[in-house]
Amino acid sequence: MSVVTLPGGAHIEYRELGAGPPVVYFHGAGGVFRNAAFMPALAQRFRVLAPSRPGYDGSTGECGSARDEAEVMAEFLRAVVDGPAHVIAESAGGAAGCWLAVLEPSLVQSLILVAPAAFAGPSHAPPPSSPEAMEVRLFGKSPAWTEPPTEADRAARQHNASANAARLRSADRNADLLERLPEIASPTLVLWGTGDEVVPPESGQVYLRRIPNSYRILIYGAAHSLPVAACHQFVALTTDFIERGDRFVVAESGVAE
Amino acid sequence: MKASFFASLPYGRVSEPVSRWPVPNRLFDPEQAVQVVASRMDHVALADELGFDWIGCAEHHYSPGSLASNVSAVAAAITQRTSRARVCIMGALLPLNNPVRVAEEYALVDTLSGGRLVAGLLRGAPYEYLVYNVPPAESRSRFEEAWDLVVRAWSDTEPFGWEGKHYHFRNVSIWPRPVQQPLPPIFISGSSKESAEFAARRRIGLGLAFTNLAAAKPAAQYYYQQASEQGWTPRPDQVIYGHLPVYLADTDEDAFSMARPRVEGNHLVPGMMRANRLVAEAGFFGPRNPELLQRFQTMGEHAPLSLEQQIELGTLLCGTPSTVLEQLRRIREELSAGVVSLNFETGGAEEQIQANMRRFAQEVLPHMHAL
Repeated sequence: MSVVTLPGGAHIEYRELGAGPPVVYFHGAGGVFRNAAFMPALAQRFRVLAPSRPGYDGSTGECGSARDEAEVMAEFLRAVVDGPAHVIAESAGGAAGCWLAVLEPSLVQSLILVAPAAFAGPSHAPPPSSPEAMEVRLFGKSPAWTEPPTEADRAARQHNASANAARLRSADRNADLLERLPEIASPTLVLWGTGDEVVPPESGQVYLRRIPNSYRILIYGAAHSLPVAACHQFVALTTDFIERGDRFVVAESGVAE
Repeated sequence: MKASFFASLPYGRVSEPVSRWPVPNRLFDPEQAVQVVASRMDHVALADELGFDWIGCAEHHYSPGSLASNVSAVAAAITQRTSRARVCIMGALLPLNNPVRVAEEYALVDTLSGGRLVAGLLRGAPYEYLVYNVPPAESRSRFEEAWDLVVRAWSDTEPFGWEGKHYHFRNVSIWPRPVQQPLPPIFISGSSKESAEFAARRRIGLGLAFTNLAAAKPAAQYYYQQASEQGWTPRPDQVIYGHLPVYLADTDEDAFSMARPRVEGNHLVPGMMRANRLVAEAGFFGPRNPELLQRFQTMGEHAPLSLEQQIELGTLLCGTPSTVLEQLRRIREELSAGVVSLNFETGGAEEQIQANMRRFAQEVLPHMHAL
């Protein structure tokens, strides 16, 4: 784990793996998972940086909104990456990823939104019956961990979520961001699992309607946190999109049926 | 209770006995096919005029039993000969086809018919899996994924891609979408537990075909039970039973005499039975349905059923109009089925088929509607 102090005063913890084109991952409500298998998988082709957003894990900084977070993340990119990066923004980190692409287009080479929760209403699914059921709802029945989560991992995830959810909750469901989505110029890929009971897949339509150069892929049957719940497909799609850009819609031999 | 006229599109007589499957197409005569298809489309127009509620068609391959190799094309033709009846595709065999293409074709049929489509999405009979080289053991997981993809293609209004276990698409945004919103009526076929559970979870109808009352009753009950557990009750027209050959006459004796030589004896094609068995043994039915596997393994080994036994099992309708009405009443009561698919292709001459249809429409259909 590395730490950087940014010009605005925020201290940001981050994990870094691999070498190659830079990919920055904005985590969801649970923070950065030390044992998520998608990190080393992506790191085989990319330099992967996973900063903990201000207020999560050991990161600090004054952020009352997703827009504030995006400004801190812009500082992070300038300080650590020193140039543009491919940005993956998941779930509760989705709004910050979108704001970054709106405010600092030169820093976002491409944007990959993973079940972003920026405009979603409350889930209609009944509440999970147990902590184990909640884990299945988040990570599916075959989560891709490098090693099983410990009680400390679960406690950290729970702390991250409860400590930051209220602070970042937008009373108007990010209405200002919604208006500005059409300004996103970066090629954007929206990923969603059809089995997502946390943020319904239907809430993905708005990104397609408003972001000019956007694509959406549904991963059949996958739960909410795709990097963990559908690691193989997530890494393959993300890699393909980053490496082939717009050509990613064209079938390659041996890829599509 | 509704009547669905089954437009099965049989080729008719072939020049030599058929024992193998696929049936060699050197026996195919294009002129006969043109003629028979034209006459069957006349039947479709007649059925619409006579008040049959639905007109159904189904996909089958490689045999003179049916020329409906592309069921959407048949359904499209039906839309152009009808103005009132619903057009029921019973259905495309989903795991054998490109699901996006199925979604497009069905939506086009819904458009051509002005919103009269009933969308059956089926897994098919075992032997069909030898047609397009699809592994039988994958049929259910292919079916379930394809079903979700079809419904997504019908209902999602922004472009999407699909990354599944069996299907991979980067661009889906079909034109036309179905006329009926949010979705056309949908059913799947199923005698298996998995089918009943799937239909109950998705809140869609269940078709019970190539079965009999004794087997269909527990399947229907299981479906109702599963639906109840999911918090809903199927409408009567969400349980479809068929396809039943219809033999009508002035007396029961006359009807029995007409039907007996056509239905008694062994009419099974050995090659098709073998194909069915091979596919069934390759895991088509899965581990939860040993009785279905056994049925296909032993098909043809038992003594052929008598006409009376077939009537008792509810696999055909035979008798005077009032007798046939009682047979339909029994189906209604035992299965709570609201739609029966009727097959008037019972080996009779062209005039007999049409006369049978007219008589059914005049003397049975009004009472059937009241059941």
